Amino acid sequence: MLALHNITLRVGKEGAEQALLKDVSLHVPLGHHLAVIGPAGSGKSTLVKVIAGIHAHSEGMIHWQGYDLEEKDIAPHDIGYVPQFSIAFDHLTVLESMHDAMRLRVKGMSAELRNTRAETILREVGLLPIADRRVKVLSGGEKRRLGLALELVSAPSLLITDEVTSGLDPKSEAEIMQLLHRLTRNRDRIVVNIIHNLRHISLCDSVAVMCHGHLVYHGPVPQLLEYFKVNSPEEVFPKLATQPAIDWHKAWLKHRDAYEIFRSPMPITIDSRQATPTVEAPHPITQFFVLLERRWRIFFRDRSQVWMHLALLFGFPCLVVIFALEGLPAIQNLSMTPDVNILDQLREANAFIIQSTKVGRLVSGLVMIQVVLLTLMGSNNSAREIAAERLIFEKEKLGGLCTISYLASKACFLFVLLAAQSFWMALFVNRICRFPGDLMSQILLLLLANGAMTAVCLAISSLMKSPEQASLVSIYLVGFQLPLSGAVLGLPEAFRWLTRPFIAAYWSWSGVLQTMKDTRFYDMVQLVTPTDLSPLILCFWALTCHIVIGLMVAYLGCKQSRWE
Amino acid sequence: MARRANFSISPVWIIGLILLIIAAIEVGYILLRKINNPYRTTTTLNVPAYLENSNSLRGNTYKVIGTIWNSLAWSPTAGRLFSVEIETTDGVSVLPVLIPAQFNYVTIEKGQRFIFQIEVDEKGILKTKDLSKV
Repeated sequence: MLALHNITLRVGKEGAEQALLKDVSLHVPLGHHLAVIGPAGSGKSTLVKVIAGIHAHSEGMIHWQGYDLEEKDIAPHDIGYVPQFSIAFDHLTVLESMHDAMRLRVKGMSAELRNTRAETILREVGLLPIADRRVKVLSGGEKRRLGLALELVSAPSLLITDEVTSGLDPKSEAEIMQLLHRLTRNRDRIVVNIIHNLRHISLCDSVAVMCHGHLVYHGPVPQLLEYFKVNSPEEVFPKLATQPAIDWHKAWLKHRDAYEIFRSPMPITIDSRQATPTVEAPHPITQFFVLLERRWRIFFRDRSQVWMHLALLFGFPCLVVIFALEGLPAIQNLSMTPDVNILDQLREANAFIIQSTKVGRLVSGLVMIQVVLLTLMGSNNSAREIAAERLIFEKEKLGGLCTISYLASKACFLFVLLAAQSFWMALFVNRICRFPGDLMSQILLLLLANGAMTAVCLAISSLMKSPEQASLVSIYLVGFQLPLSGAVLGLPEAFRWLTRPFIAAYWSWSGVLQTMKDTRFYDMVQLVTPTDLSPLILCFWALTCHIVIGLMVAYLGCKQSRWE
Repeated sequence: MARRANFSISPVWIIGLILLIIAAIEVGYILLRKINNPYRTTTTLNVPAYLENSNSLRGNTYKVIGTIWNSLAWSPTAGRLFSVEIETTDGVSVLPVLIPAQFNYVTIEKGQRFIFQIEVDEKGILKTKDLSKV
C-alpha cells in the first residue's frame, strides 16, 4: 500500500513561505489505478513528485509497503516515473532507447531477452511499428508513450505518470489508459496517473481531486459525481471554483470516512510483494560501459557535432602556425669577448634588445595562443555535456544509475576528445614552428590545460540550470584566461597571487616555456614578459589540482538533484 | 534521511572542498619555495669579504645569483671562465667564475642569469659545483 499521511510541502524562505501541498492524506492499495485530477496549478504534479521523492515534503509521512520512505526509499527498479518531458535521447532510435534503459536498470538480461522484452513493451504501448525510428522525429504523444515504455523495463510496482496521455489522439489515449489499467491487474502494481481529459476516468479505480494544494476528494469514480453534485466529471472543475479550496478541504475531512473506502489502519506488509520477482540494478562498471558506448553512439549520430569538433581540431592549430610559418627565427647572441669597443658593444646590445623583444613576444604569444585555443576547446567539449541532458540524467538516477558511473563515462569520453585535440595541437605546431624543448612535456602540459578547463567546465555544467547558462559561464571563464594569465600585461602583485592559482592558461603557458629553459628563447621570453614563470613541477601540480577539484565539484553537482 | 531523488549538497562538502583547495595551494607554495631556491641550505657568498680576502673563504661552499657578462677564458679540460655580474646590498660587483668542463653541455650566453653553487678553491678561484638557470 501507498499511504500519505498529512503531507505538507512549503517552499520559499522562512517568513515568506508558500504551501504547495497542504495536509494531503490518502491511501492507495496494491493493484490500484489512481487518477489525480484538478485544475492547472492545483498541485497534481507536485503531489506525484513528492511521492516519487523528487520534492521533499515539509511535514507528514509517506509509507510504501509499510516502510516510512524517509527511512527506506523505494528500490530504484520498483518505482517508475514518467514525467512530462522526453526522457530519451533524440539521436537514438526507440528500440535503442529501450535496450539502453534495460542495460542500465536491469541486471543480467541477455540480448535475446532484451529483444523479447522490448518488443513486448513496445507492442503494449503501440510503438512497435516505429521501433527503428529516431526519437527526434517522434511526436509529443509518441515521446510520452516511449517514456512510459522506458519505465516499464524494470516492471516497477509503483508507476507514476504525469499527463502521459496529453497530446495523444483519442484512440491512443484510450489505448494507453487501458494499458495502465491492465498494468494494475497483471501484478500488485499501483499506477498513479495525472490526467486532464476525464473521458476515460472510468478505467481508474479511484480519483483524487486536488485544488490549490488541498486534497478535496479521493474515492471511487462513480461517487465523484455524487460528492460534487454534478452530472459529469467535466463539471467538477467549474464546481471547485464556487468556494475556496480550504472549504472544500474541510468538507472532505468531514466526509472522507464515508467515501475513501481504501483506508486501512494496518499497513499492508510485504507478504504480497514476496511473490514478485526481484530486479537488481547492474553493477556500476556495467553502467559505465553502457553509458560510454551510448555517448559515443550519440556523438557519431550528431553529424554537426562531429564536423564542429573536426573543424576545431584541425582549424585551431592552423590559427597558431600562421604567425610562424617559417619557424622560429635564428638568434644572434651577444659577443662575449671583452675586447669589442664600446660603440660596437652598444650597437650590438641595441640590436640584441630589438631581436629579443621580437622573438620573445613571438614565442610567448605562440604558446599562449595554443593554450587559450585549447582551453576554448575544453570549454566547448564539456560546457553543455551534463546540463543539456540533466533531466534525462535525473530520471536515470531515480531509476538506479550510479553517479560515479555517469561521471566516469563523461570523463572518459571527454578525455578522448581532449587528448586528440592537445596531441594534434602540440605536434602540429611543434613541427611547423620547430619549437625547441621536450615535446612530450609540452604535449602533457597542453593536455593538462585542456583537461583542466574541460573538468572545470564539466563542473559548471553540473551546477548550472540550463545548457545556455553553462555555456555562457564557461565562455566567460575562457575569456578571463588571457588577461589574468599575465602573459600580455603584468598584473599588480597582490592581484597576481590571488588569481594565479585558478588560471589554467598561466600554468600551461609557464610550463611550456619552462620546457625551453635551456634555450635562448626562454631568456628572450623572460626579457619581454611582465610575469615571472613558475617551475615546471609546480605547473604540473597546479593543472592536476584543477582537474581533480573540477571533477570533485562535478561529482557533487551531479549528485545534487536538479529536476527544475 | 533524504530520499534518493532529493539529494542536496551539505555545507560539510563545501567546507571540505574549500579546505582541499587551500591545501592544494599550500602544497604549491611549499613546492615553489623549494624549487625556486635549490641551494637554500647553502650560505650566500659575502662578496665584499671575498674581494677583501678570498683566502679566508677557501674550501667553503656558497651560492650566488649572477648574470653572465663576458667569457674570459676557455680550456677543453679546465672548463670556461666567465665574468659574472652579481648584485649585492652594496651595489653590483663583477666576479670571475670558473665553470668546469663537466658543465660543457650547458649553453651559456651573455645576459643569462644563473644561480651558482660555488666553492672557493685553494687558489681563491670561484669554482662552480652546480648551476641552474634562474
